[in-house]
Parts: sequence; C-alpha cells; structure tokens
Amino acid sequence: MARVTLDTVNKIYPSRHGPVHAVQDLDITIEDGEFVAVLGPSGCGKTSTLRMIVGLETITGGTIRFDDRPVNELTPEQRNVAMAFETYALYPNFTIAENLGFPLEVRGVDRKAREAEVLRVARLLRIEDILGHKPAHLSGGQQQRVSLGRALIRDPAVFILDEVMSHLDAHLKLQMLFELKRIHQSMGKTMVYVTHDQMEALALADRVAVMSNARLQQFGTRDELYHAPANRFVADFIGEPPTNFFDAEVTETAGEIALAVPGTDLAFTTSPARVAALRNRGGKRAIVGIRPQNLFITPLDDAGSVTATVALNEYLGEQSILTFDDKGVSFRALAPPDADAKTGATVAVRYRPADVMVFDTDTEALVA
Amino acid sequence: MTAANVKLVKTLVLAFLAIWLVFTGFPLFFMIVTSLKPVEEINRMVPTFWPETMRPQNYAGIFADPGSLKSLVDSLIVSSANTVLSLFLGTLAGYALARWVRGVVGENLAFFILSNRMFPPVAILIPMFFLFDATPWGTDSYVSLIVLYLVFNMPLATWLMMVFFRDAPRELEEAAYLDGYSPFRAFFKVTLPLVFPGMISVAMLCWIFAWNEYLFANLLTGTTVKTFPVHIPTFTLGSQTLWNLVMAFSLVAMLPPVILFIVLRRYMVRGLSLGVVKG
Repeated sequence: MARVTLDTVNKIYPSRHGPVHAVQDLDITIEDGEFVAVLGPSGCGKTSTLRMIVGLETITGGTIRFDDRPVNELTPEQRNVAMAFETYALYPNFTIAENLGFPLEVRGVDRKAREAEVLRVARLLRIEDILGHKPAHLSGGQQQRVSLGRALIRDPAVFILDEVMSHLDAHLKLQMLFELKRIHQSMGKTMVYVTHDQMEALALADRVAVMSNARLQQFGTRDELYHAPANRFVADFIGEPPTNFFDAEVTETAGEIALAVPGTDLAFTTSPARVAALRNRGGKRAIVGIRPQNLFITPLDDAGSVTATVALNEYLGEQSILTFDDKGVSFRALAPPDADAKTGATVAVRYRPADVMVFDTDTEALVA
Repeated sequence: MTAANVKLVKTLVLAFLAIWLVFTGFPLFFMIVTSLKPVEEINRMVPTFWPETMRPQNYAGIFADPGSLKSLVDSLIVSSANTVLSLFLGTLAGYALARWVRGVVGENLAFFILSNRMFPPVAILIPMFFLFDATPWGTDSYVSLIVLYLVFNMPLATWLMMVFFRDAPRELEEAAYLDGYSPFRAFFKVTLPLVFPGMISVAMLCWIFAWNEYLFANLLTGTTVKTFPVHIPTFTLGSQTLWNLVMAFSLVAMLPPVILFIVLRRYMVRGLSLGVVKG
C-alpha cells in the first residue's frame, strides 16, 4: 500500500487541431489507505489523470510518486497498480476462475495457492457459484464484480476504479456501492475511484477531488464540498437538485449588508463571517448561491425570508421540488410532499443566513 | 400492410429467389452435366441437358495427364504459402495501424496501403515480369508467385485486420499490461484470440484469390511451376476444346475452396460480421 502524490501533473495530447491540455497543474496527495473519488463531468481530465497514475498514459509534466518513489518512468507492472475498467475488460476466452487467477498466474504463483486465492476473492464478492462460466454468460453486475475481483486478488500499491458503476442499474448500483465500501473497510487499501456521478463519489469516498476543465477545483471531504464549496462550479456540481444562483448587488442600509437581486424583491442576508469578508473585498456585485435543501416554506427559527410565487410543484413521492418565480428569476426548493404550496400561491421562503453562499462575480471563487 | 400485400411481397420474394437460384445454379448444373459427357456430345449445335451416354471416366482421364495433379499441387503450394505470409504480415501491420500509428499519418498510411488494390493489375503485368526476371529465382518459380500475390493480398489482409483490431477492446490489453503481461504477450494471449475469427475470414479471402489467379500466373510461370488456372487452357487441342475435361478438372479444382469454406464457415460468418455486430 502506498501514499500517492501528484505534483503539478500535466497532460497535453497532440491533436489535429493543436495540443489539448487535458490535465493542468494537478496537485493531489492521497494518503495510505484512503478512499478518494475523482469527480467531474466528462472531458474534465479525470480519466487522463487516472491513466497517468496507472501508467497507461505518459506524463507530460510534473511527477507522480508512490510513497516517495517517482513512478513516471515505470511500467504499469512495475508500479504494481490494479485497475477495474468501466467496460470490465474481462478476457472473453477465459473462465471466471481463470480471469480472477490471471494476475497471479502471470506472477508465477503456483496452481494450488492460486486456486485458494481465487476462492477467497470469489467469496468476498459472492461469486463462488459462477467460477466455471465464461464472461459472456454473466449479467452486468456479475461481470462488474469479477472485474473488481481481478483487481482485488493482488496486493497492489493502489487500486484504481474507473467509472465501474456506470453501466449498472440503480438498484444494483446501490448494492455495489455498499459492497465496495465494505471491501475497502475490510482491506484498508488505497483506492482511487473515478466517476461523473456525485452520489457515488460522496457515498464512497473519504475525500473527493472535483475536477473541471482540466483543473482541480477542490479536494476535500463531503462536508467541505457541500458547505464550503471552493467556487461556483463545485457548488453547482455537488448536490441534487443543483444549487440556486443569483446575480446580486451588495447593498448596505444602516450598517446591514444585504444581497439584493436586481429587478426582483429578492434580498438575502448572510452569515457575519461572510458579511465581514464582503466588506473586506468591496465591490458592488456578487453571486449568491443557496441549495434547494436549505430553503423552507415551513416556519424556521432565526431565519431570513423572501417572498415568491410557486410556479411549479413537482411531486416526487418522498418529497416535492417547488419551482418559484419572482419577476422572471426562478429558483427551486425541496419541500415535504404535503407542503401547502399550490401553483400560483405566494409564500414566504425561509433560509438560514449561514446557508447563503457568496461567490465573487469575476473569479467565481467562494467569498469567505 | 394488408394481408394481401404481405402475400404479394412474399410471392415476389420467392419469385426473385427462384430466378436467382436458376441464375446461379444453372452454370454449376451445366458444368457437372458437361463433365460427364463424351467428346462427341459436347460440340453439338443443340446442346443436351443430360448426357446421352454417361462418361464418368473423364474424371480419371484428366489425371492420366501427369500435369493435372501437379498443377493442383502447385496451386496449393502457392496459395497456401501466400496466405500464411499475407496473414502474418497483414496481422502485424494491421495491429500497428490500429493501435500505434494514430492520427493523420495512420489514417493516410492505411488508405495508401489499401489503394494498392485499386489500380488495374494489368498496368503492372509487364513490369512485374521484368522485375522477377531480374531476381535470382526468376519468373517461373514458386517464390515469384508467392511474393507477387502479396501485392494484392497483403493490403487486403492489413486493412481488414486493422478493422478487426480496432474493434477489439483496447481495455483488454491494458488490463493485461496491468496484470503483468508484456505488450508482446498481451498481443498473443489476449488480443489475437479475439480477432481469430477475423483472421480465418482474411485467410479464406487471400487463399481463394491466390488459388484462382490466372493473369499473372499465366505470364510469369508455365514450365517449372504451373498453377491449375494455367493448366486448364492445355485442354484445348488445336481445333477443339475438350469441354468435358475442362469442366471435370474445374470441378475438382473447386473442391478445396468449397470444403475449406464449409469447414470454416462458422468462423467466416463471425469474422465478417465482427465489424458490424458489437456486443
């Protein structure tokens, strides 16, 4: 097991239309035994990052270290990494047992020991009953577990899991998330999980690295990402439904700072710390972000409130998504399904000032 | 569609198939019939559609000429050696083009290789004669034909193998690298088995081309080496052609490819559909 350090790592691909900067100045340290998710929309550079860690892609600039050893020039085999692929990549002409035992066979582990290991991993993943089958006869979920098993059977420096859940249906996915978490806890190995699905990332990882446009946006725990997103992108990407954003003007009346949305009656107040930061920063404009989960139409203690008209009430079973409208500016809130909010009604929408996030209009970085 | 329409379409399809069957089946039928006729019966103004006198001895007769059997053996040597060579070179080149020579260069190089098949072969007929004449083994040899047919078969093999390799998932090789295989072993143990049906199809196409080729074989060879298409015209004697022997010999020459196809049909279909059916 190893600590994985990425030190100003860059990846530039040549292409017909000039060089493409796929990964830019990436700095991440993944601690020994940590479960880290790399999260981002497609094309953000997360797969390139992972392929550089594994050694399937050359590193254009910067250094990747396993513990303190630079691995830039090492082959995947020398790095001793294990990877599970999005497409599973099971060898179609081998049986499941042969697929699982393959990494050991290559390393010259004798037959007896190999079979014992295959059985151990098969038990861990609950696939003992299909060891004699060929991959083509397996369901997606089973194939996925076999591909995990082939990675887990070795004792690698780091496990890389590339979008391994993206072809599973929702029910199976939840089950596998749980299994994966269980496996990580029982083995305590360094794992890097790449995904575009924030739910998977937040459910599994100790820390999440959010990437966008070839750059690392934020690397932190789910609390940090959720409550103190580094910038507007992270606030938007993490959380479902997405965060409401308003272009606001910073106004000051009688020493009180408020964030008013021009052309509407919407005005928000924020926490004292952010007010102080806004004063320091100066400037007339800011972006206000507030999560739908943090807007309430029920009474709330020490809350601010705005008034808006219900434009749409989407009933989703366990909760409803309310879409409000105030003079052309719309935003959404989550409400209990029995919430008294008929379409067209004008209601008070309450929030806690501490939940009001403020971003710089130009840099989109979090203010305070 | 109404029921009447469905019936009409079905009838039309069946009618088309019937015509098609006659169109493709009759030449074969007439070949077989002719091969069983005596010489007197083959040159009549009004042909007979069934032999008046059966003469299966024609088949034995063609092999009375020692050249006949040798020509089949020569063809077998040339086409088999050429197929092995085409497949070997084509597989390696196709893999390189599919995996390693990427971008603008790769696309154009692959197309350039295939374009070798697009010029009319006659254009290089005479130059090829002089070219091989200048080599130590001369024109009339196995080597000359085996090498010459590479001009046609290797581009085909390269191009098709490239397509098959492109369709073989790259992740499998990458998984093998991670599991500890060298690129060389990953190629032979993981990737090659995946494109094996494709290789069989390519081998068949190459083999059949080399087996039936006449134009170059006729010009370059004829004494030391004589493939069967070159041997067939020798059944023409001065004033008349012994069509019964020509047909009998042609039918015998058809057997190897037909048998090969039947045996390897399973792979052929899978290989040729490799690029179409994903999954």
